[in-house]
Amino acid sequence: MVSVAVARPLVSVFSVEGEGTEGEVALPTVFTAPIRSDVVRSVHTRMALNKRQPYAVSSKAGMQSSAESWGTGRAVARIPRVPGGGTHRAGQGAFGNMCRGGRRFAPTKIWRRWHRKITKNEKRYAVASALAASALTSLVLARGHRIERVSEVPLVVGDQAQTLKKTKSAVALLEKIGAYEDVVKVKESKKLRAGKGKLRNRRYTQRRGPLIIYEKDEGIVKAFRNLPGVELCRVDSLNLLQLAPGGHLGRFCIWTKSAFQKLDEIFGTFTQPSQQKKDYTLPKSILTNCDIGRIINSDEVQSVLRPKVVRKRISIRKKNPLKNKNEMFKLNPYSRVLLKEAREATSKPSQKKQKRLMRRKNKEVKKIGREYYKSIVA
Amino acid sequence: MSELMWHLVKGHNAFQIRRKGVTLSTEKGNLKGTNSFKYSGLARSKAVDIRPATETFGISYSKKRTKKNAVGKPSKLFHTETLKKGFSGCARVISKELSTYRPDLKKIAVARISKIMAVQKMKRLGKKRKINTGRRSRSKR
Repeated sequence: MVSVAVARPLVSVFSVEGEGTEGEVALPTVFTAPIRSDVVRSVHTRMALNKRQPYAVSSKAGMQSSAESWGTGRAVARIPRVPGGGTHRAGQGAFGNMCRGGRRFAPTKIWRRWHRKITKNEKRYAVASALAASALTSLVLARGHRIERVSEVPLVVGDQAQTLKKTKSAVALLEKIGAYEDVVKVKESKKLRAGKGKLRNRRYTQRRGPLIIYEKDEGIVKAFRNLPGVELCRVDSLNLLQLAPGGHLGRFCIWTKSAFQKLDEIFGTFTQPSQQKKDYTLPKSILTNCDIGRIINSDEVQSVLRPKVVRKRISIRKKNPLKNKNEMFKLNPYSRVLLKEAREATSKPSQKKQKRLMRRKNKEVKKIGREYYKSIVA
Repeated sequence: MSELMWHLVKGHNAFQIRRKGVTLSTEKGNLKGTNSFKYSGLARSKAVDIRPATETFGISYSKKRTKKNAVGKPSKLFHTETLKKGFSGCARVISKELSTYRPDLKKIAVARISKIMAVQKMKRLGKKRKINTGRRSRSKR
C-alpha cells in the first residue's frame, strides 16, 4: 500500500450550488495508511468502554442488620440470625447470599475498572486505518451503506456546504451527490429495540448513515443534525467510534473541501511529520506489496523457482475388467467391437434406422422390378 | 489487494446471510452466492453479475470495471447491459467475454444463465409445462 514516490491521485470536489464538480484535490496520505482491522477492533472496544457510567448495588444492601450466628447445639443451621423477638423477622437468617433479604453474592462495586487507557499512538493508528478504509468502495459497501449512486469515494463536497442553514438544502445536497439513499435506509430501519434497553432510555435502534466531516461550522451542523442517521464531525477531532462503528471499517464519509485538505496537516505523510500532532508520522505497513498473486507470478520469483515435480501415481486402484468396460477395452481393444455387435443383435434398430433400411430395401426392389420390365419390353 | 480486501470482508459484511451453519453472500458480482474468495463480488477487482432482467425476459449482465479512472467511483463500478437473447445467445456472449476476463467463472456463469432462463421460460409458458427440478417433482407424478 505504501509507494515510495507516487503522485497523489486526484479527487473531484462536488459543487453544492450548481451541477457537477468544481475542481480537484489531491488525496491526502492518510487514505493510504495500512488498514488494520485488528487494531481498529481492539481500540474500538476499549474506547467504547470509556463512556460508561458506574453501576452498583447499594453497599449496605442486605447488611443492615445486627444478626449473629446462634452457633452449634441449637438444631439450626449456623447462618447468622436476626436477634430479638415479637416479629417474623426474628430468628430469620441474614447476611448470606442464600438468605431472604441477605446481600447478594459478590455485590457489584463502583470501583470496578470502567475505563481503559489507550496509548495515543494506537488510537491514532486506528483512526488512520479507519480513514483509509472509508476510501475503499468495497469496504463501505460491505459495511452496509447504500452508495451505489455515489459518484466518487472519498466523497468531497465544496466548502459552501459548511454555510448551509436549512435541512431542506441539506437534503437537496445529499440527493444531488447520491448520498440520500443511505439516509433513507436509516429512516426505514428504525425499530423498537429488542430487550430491556427499551425500558432504559434506548427505546429505538436504527442504522448509521453518512458521517459528514467539516472544518468550520457555519450552519452545517444545524442543517444536517435532524436527518436520521447523519452524524457530523470536525476534522480536528475525528472519533473512531464514528469512523468505525461497532469496530467495523468502512463508514460512509462526506468531506467538505477544507476538511479534506486539512488532513495532510493533521496526519502528515509517511515522510513528513504531522503539524498538529507532535512528533507523529503515519504508520507504515509491514508489506508494501500485499498482492500475493502478483508476487508469485513476478519475474523475480518465477526465475528462481525449480521446475515443477510431476509425481507419478505409484499404485493405481485396481478395477475389474469384467465389470468396468473401459478397463476391458484397455486389455482387449476388440472387445469394443464385440460389445457393439452383441448390442445390435439384441436390440431393434431405431425408427430412423428402420425407415432408412426400408427405403433402401424398397429402392432395391424397385430397381429389380424396373429391369425385369425393361427385359420384357425390349 | 483482493486478498487483503477478502480478509477484511470475509468475517462479516452486510451481504452475508448466516443460517444453520451455512454462510451465503448476496452482493452484486457474486455468481454462486457463496461466501468465498473465488466468487466474491466485493473483494475482487474483476467480477461479473448475472441476474434476470427486470422488465423484459433476458439477462442483466454486469461486469466490474477495471480501468483506473473507474476505481473509487461506486456509480460506475459495474457496467450493465441487458441481453434479450435466448439461452445459447446469452451463454455465447458471456462465455466469450469471460474467457479473457475471468475464465474461472465461465462454468458457473453458464449454469446460472440456464437456471434463470429455465424460470423465465416457465413464466413465458404460463406455468403450463413443468420443468423437472429434482426429486420432489418426480415423486409428485
